[in-house]
Amino acid sequence: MSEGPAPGVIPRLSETQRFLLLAVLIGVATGLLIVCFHAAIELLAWFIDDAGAPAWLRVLVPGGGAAAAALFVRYVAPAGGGSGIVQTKSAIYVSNGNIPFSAIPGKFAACCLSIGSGTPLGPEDPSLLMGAGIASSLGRAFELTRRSMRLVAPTGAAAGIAAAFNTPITAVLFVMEEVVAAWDAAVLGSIVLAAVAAVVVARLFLGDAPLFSVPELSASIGLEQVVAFAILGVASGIFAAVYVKAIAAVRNRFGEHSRLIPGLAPLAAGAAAGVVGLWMPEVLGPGYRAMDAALHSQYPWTTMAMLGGAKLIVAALAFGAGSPGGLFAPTLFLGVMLGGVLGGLGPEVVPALDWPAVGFVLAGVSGVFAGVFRAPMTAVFMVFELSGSSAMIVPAMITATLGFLVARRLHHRSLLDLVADEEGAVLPSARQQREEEPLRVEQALGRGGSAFVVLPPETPLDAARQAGDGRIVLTMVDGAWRGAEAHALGEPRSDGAAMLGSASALDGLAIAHLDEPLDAVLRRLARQPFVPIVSRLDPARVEGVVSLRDVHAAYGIQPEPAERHQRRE
Amino acid sequence: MNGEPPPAISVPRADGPLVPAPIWWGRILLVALGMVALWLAATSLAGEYHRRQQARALAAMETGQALVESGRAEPAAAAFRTAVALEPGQASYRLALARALVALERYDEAERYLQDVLLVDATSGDANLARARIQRARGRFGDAEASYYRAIHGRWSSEDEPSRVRARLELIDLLGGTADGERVRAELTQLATAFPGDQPLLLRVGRQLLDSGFPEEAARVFRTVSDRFTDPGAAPAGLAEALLAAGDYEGAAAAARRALLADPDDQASATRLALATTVDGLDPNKPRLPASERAARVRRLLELARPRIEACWTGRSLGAEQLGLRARLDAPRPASVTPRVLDEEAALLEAVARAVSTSCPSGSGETALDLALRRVAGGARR
Repeated sequence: MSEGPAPGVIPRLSETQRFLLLAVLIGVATGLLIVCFHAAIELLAWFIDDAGAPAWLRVLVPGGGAAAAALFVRYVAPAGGGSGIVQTKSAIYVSNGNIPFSAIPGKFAACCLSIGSGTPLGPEDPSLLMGAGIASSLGRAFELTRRSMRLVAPTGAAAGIAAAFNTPITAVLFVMEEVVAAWDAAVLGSIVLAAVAAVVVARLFLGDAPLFSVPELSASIGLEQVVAFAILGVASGIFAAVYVKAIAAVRNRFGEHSRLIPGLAPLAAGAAAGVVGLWMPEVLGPGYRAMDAALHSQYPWTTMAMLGGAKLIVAALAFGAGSPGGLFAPTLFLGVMLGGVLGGLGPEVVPALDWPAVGFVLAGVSGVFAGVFRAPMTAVFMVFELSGSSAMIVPAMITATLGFLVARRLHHRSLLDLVADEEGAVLPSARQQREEEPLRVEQALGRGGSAFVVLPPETPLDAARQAGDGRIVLTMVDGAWRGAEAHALGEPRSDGAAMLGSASALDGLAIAHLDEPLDAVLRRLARQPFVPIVSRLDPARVEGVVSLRDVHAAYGIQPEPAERHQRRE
Repeated sequence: MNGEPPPAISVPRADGPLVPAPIWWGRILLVALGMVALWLAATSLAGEYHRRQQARALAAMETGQALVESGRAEPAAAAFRTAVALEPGQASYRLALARALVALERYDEAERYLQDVLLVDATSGDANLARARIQRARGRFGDAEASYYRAIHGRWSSEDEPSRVRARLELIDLLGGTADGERVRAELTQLATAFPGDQPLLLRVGRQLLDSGFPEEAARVFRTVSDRFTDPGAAPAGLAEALLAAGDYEGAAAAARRALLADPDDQASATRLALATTVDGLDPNKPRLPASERAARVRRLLELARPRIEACWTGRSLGAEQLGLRARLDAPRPASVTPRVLDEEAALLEAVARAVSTSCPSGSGETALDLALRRVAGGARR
């Protein structure tokens, strides 16, 4: 972004500064909206709770709420449907960051109705979409460029998730890892600013208390615990894969694109949640209170096993059936319960595994989250941010890595990929980008590169031609590299210039370094026949020379028949 | 962004007119209005949310407290949990939950909630006392002692001030269990000094000092109560007991008399009075006794001790010293008591008293003879 002052409405601010100001505005607006969202969901839930309904009505309320919300989305506010995360990604990659304004009230109303009436889903993903929607609307209001519109939507997404989950670092990482799907320095500043602004506003209205408080944790980790966390990581991966497969199966059969009567599947899924909720009310809604209780060792491991299993079923049914709501909170719930089960059961079986149960609970969150969303970095930092304890970093890293790897092994596509597929979009992900690492210069040089010789500029032209012997001749003149094919050096000029440094056949050459992307070299090859690869430590030392042929070879492109013929000649 | 055009709010170019387009101000105004509307909505909804949240939490707390008072700790804990979930920032709710969990012996869980409270307020007397109880119940006496000290010197609300005393008493009880008598004495003495106007506490401290084997300190505390309060309650009786244990029989008799004046049916004081008076009447070393009386008391004690020694030594193989002592005891006494004879008989009595105390201790309960002989042997103090 350019840093120079730009005149206009606010003449003293550079464009970067104005973009950052807009990020703050997005953060504040999103924070305010999420405060309303959170309060509305809770007030509705309390209203239903205070009504003291009989058991049959308590079964029907979640179903009725989910069905009403699904019908509202279908017939009144179609832009408010779908998964918030996938919609935001679609907006960035498909519609240049444009999210219709109607998505904001639509999502707000549908998810309030659905989650507030007890649907076992969470408010984070919808918050993400609403934040992105606010950012997109503000972007349109201020007539941002197309590229800026693509950048502003993730800014709002981060603000939304930060305000909903009260964790700015997690929000920033999640958006970078899963929504932007790349580490883009240009957008990072605005995302951080918006997330912080949103959290500050949310805390101003809702208080500083986190969604669930994590007890103080300080314990050293030994070999036994490392093994235990590795087992938990593997279990998390398996659990995450089962969860994703269950959601996919339900969506295939009863999802929004099924031929069932509209609203019937959410009604049935909600009623199923209502039945389970009669015995285990903890599974209804996002379930933050149950998570808090598990973090405080309130439940024995048997109870946590039942809660985890029940939540898996009702959340998969609800999300698969198309009930409005997000998967962030249910995923955390599953992680908490899985970690709690292993944390409670482990020391009973192997007494040496005695470690604070809260540590296992948090590590379980990390493992399952990484397995479901395929965002291991976010998973690790989320646990660190929630616990505020460095003691949790190593356990979270172990479980997140293994959870991610095992889940990927068992189910190649992530949950968000599946949802995107179903909505007909092919969207990029950080995982995909990790797997498709761009080629670098060293990979072209690894295949040999072009033959070259470096000579001093005062070398006589005849000697240079002879020394070149069919290779590329390079020389450094006044700190800049110049070069030519040896055979192109020609005869000494008529004006008597006989030195290599003053030969007219030499081209001024842009250089590259070993670690640069090959794409950068390809662009330079449009202006010069070859590119010297120079050491970063010693600019006078040439590591190799890359020509178009080497680039083709690195990409695996076979030479054209004519070229092959020419080369044979 | 690799040198590409930066994202930007579209603005007039530098070479364009500097007057902003009216449409910008319109949009800014619209956005500002939207923000104000959002702010008002958030204020209203969040306000209602907090009001209901607080009301629900308070209702849950009251339910929990009522359940605690009716002795139903399990549902009380559930109610407190609801209150904590609704108002996680309220330390008092967490504390109430922790207390209920301690009552249910769910120490792990209780300790976590206490940790939360102590993270916010490390000086909370209440939380430290609850934590000390958990640590004590789990046998972590060192940690418990530290927590008790934090509770004693911590912060209490004015209506909870008696809990500070309770913390100190529990600490004393803990220290008593560790047989660290000197620290118990120090804590009790400090407690008596800290609350000179608290009669029940002083009586309790006096009793504990007495039970812990510090009769003189106990007597001091009981005397303070007897002298300071118009209705000293059990202080004179306690003082009599303490003085009796300390070997001050004259004082013990006086205190027992005062106790009997207040409560003539006090059998214990009557017994102590009789005992103290008897021992006082047997004591040959009582100051300002005439020589004849002293001699009479020495001989009387020798006579009383003789059957005791005989009963004790019969059937035992005696050493030369014991045989010599028996022979001296059996020897006839001169009719006239000269100072030299009195000194010899006093020395004999002292040897007999030492022999009784070392080889013939009394069985159940000490008699006046035992107390008198112990006093002669120089072991008035226990």
